[in-house]
Amino acid sequence: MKKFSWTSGLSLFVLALAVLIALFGPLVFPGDPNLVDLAKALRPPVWAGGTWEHWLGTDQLGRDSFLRLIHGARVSLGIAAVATLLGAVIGTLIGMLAGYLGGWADALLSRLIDIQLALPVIVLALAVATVLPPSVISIVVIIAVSTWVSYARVTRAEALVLQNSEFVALSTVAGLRLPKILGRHILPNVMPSVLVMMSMDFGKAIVFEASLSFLGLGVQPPLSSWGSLIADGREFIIAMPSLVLIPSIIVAVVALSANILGDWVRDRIDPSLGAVSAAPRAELGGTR
Amino acid sequence: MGVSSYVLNRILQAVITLFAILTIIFFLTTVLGDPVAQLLPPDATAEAYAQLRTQLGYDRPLFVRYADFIWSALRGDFGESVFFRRPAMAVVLERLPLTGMLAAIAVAAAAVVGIPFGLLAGYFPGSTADRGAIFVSTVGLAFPNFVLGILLIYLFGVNLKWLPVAGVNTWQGIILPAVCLAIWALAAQVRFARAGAIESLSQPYVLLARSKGLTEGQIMRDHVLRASLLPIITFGSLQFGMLLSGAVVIESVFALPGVGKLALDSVLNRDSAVVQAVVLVIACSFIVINLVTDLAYGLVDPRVRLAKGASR
Amino acid sequence: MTRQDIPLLEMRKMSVSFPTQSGERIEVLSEVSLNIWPSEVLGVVGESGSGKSMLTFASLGLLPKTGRASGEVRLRGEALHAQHKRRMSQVRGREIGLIVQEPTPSLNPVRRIGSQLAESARHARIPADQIKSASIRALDEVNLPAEVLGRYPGELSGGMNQRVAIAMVLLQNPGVLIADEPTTALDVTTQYEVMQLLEGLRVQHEMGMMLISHDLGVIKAMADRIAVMYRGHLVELGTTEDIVSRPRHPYTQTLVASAPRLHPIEAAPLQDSGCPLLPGDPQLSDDHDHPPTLERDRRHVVWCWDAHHGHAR
Repeated sequence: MKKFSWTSGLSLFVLALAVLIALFGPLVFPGDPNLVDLAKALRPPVWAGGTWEHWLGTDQLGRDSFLRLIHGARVSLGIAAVATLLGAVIGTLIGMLAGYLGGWADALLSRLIDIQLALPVIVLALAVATVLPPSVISIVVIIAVSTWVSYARVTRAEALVLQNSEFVALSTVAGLRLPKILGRHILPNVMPSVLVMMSMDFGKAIVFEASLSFLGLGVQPPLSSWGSLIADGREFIIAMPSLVLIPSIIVAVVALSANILGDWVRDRIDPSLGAVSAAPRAELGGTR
Repeated sequence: MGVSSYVLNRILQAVITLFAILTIIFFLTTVLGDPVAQLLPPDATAEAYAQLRTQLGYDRPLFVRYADFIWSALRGDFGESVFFRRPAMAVVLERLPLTGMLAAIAVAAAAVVGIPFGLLAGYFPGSTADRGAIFVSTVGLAFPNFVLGILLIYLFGVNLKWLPVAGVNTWQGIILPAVCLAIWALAAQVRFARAGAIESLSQPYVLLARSKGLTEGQIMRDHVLRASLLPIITFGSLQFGMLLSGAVVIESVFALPGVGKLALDSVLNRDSAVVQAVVLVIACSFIVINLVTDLAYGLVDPRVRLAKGASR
Repeated sequence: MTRQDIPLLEMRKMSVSFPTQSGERIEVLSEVSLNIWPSEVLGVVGESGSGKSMLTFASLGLLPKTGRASGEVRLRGEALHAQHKRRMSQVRGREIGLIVQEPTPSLNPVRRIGSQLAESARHARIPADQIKSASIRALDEVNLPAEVLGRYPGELSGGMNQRVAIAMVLLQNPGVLIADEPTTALDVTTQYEVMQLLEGLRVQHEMGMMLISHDLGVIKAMADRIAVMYRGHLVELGTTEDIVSRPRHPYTQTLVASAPRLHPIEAAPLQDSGCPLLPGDPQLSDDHDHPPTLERDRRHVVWCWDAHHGHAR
């Protein structure tokens, strides 16, 4: 998996295509994904006897499935990207600060990390969902809350090491302010790890968003993501399987591609981070 | 630092975590959210609001409410479910066995299939078996669980009509959800066992064991498996905790009346008492599993015991 | 019982190569031939990377999977083949014992000493009801108390673990013992104790021994003969007396001259010796032809392109 194999190439292609569709799809294929036309409800896709007018068929309200998938890509990938970025930024900042300041800030962070690791993510999501009404913002928050810990952990460790290093000490002596020290010296050093973790988290965020939306805790109508399309189509699994199968397969393929690419980026930049994600307690297993 | 203080330390950490989680639940539900408003219809009058607020005790000072909440929570009392009209904890506990069984089946299946597969792959890196293991673990871990559930329902329920589409009225109903959870657990276990075997095989003690004339079978059994076994068991028990929460999605896909489905329904029903009870039950089982594993690990593995004794 | 006229262990034209990243194979051991005679100590000295350990691993069929070995190994006249797994499994441990450099990581950290000793005893066909008493006896021979049986390697010091490793060898009672840097990882006082112990047990159990070390001092103290290795080649072989007092190969000369120093290898005086195996002359040293062999027996032999140079000293 170290080399850029055909699987990595295919994954890159799939992901790039998905991103392009999310960005430009609605411009290239104009049309209202929420246009209700009950006369055309539950049309099959073109290969199952449908027409080219709605080549992926329509849902129970006669809305065009293809347009809904294209607009859903925007929502799904957009939420995943923003949430990944937010989690990374928050986690990195907190980790750097705690590692640099040490003392009580560090102790507090370590406790917080321990506590969050003892709490299954979905439980946290449920707890948040009871409070925040389901919306795009609440999903982004839930996903970011579930990812920030790993960034904080890694950057804290690196900041701790750098904090004791000479050039950071010299910068302090030279009178550089805290934001400058963090930005100039610590951030560049933690950046590779952060990028690797982000590339690995993106795929997970796609799945997480889809799961939440599927459960009804995610985006609400009229907005729809791939996850909510799956949820909507679910009751037609016997009558019109394409309604649920097509978005399901798209989510699976895109998530798989993002994961394969994430693994590839990790192998290229920092293979040691692999243990962190594959096995939460890998460190217990090693003898060294 | 001796064994007993290690145990005390771990128990203390678990208790702190439990308190932290209770505190988070308290603040989320009573400080950020408005539990009174959630119980009333949107067009309720201010008088009705004030009356219910007093009735439920939300007019008391925050600290009193917090102490009251903790005290009740420790007794497992989260109040009555507005939906079931019964104590929330009782509702949760009667749904627990189904979810526990699902998770147990998945962990067991993952261990029985995944560990030998992972060890085999680790022993022959680069072989067909190894590439198969990498494929299974990559796809299994990345594939969204609920999508897998839907595809399985379509294939076996709709297309082949072998198994029921949803519900647990018969024993067949549990097969597909268990498979869904098991595939994820198996993928993780394969990856973990493979890494363990590769790590262990590179150790000098394997070389010395070979130089003693042990066969490869003996080395795999008595040295590699033996050295990887504790981490593997630890991982399996952690998985059990993760699967309890993974069941939220899968139970919803298959409409199984377990804890996960209950939690989701309660969130959608705004049945705050049940949600709190579920969060506490899942978090508690997670904490207890972690604690027991850590203790067992510390007591059984000489390396952990020695390292903890030296460094902590 | 041991015949004195055939070697205990005969390694003939042993070569080992490994693939590099670019796909070529690089030779780390080139046609090295050595014999271990009954009840002698053969010292093998050379810097790290000189191929000493590869010789051991190739002889025992324990090379990493990417390594490729050629040559012939004979145990008391019987040819050994790495692919005969069953025979090799009997040979390892019971006929040829190995002691390695890092004692602690060489013992399984999650198994008690007793169970790892028992493993060796079982392989040596010691009856089950005698394993415990045999283990205690073996521990006693290496001056360790019986209570060590219940300990884990992590609870013992490096020196103690090395004695455990020696006790494991004693249980299997091989005719040949290969000790690969047995004391390098230990501190100085422990080094001395372990060497004393090894020497005593070797005499008592009538083992032939190959002692491998980068430290000529250690070798000198124990070996009957010394083989000098450099960059995968055997460059000089002779009695300890001859090697130490009349070194002929320029590398050996440097080694002997700098023996007490911390860093025994100094390139400077070798540069102008004209020897093909030396640094600074890559074209010649990459040549795969083996240097001319002058003699092959138990006397003093030098392998060097510049044979004249070798004899001149």
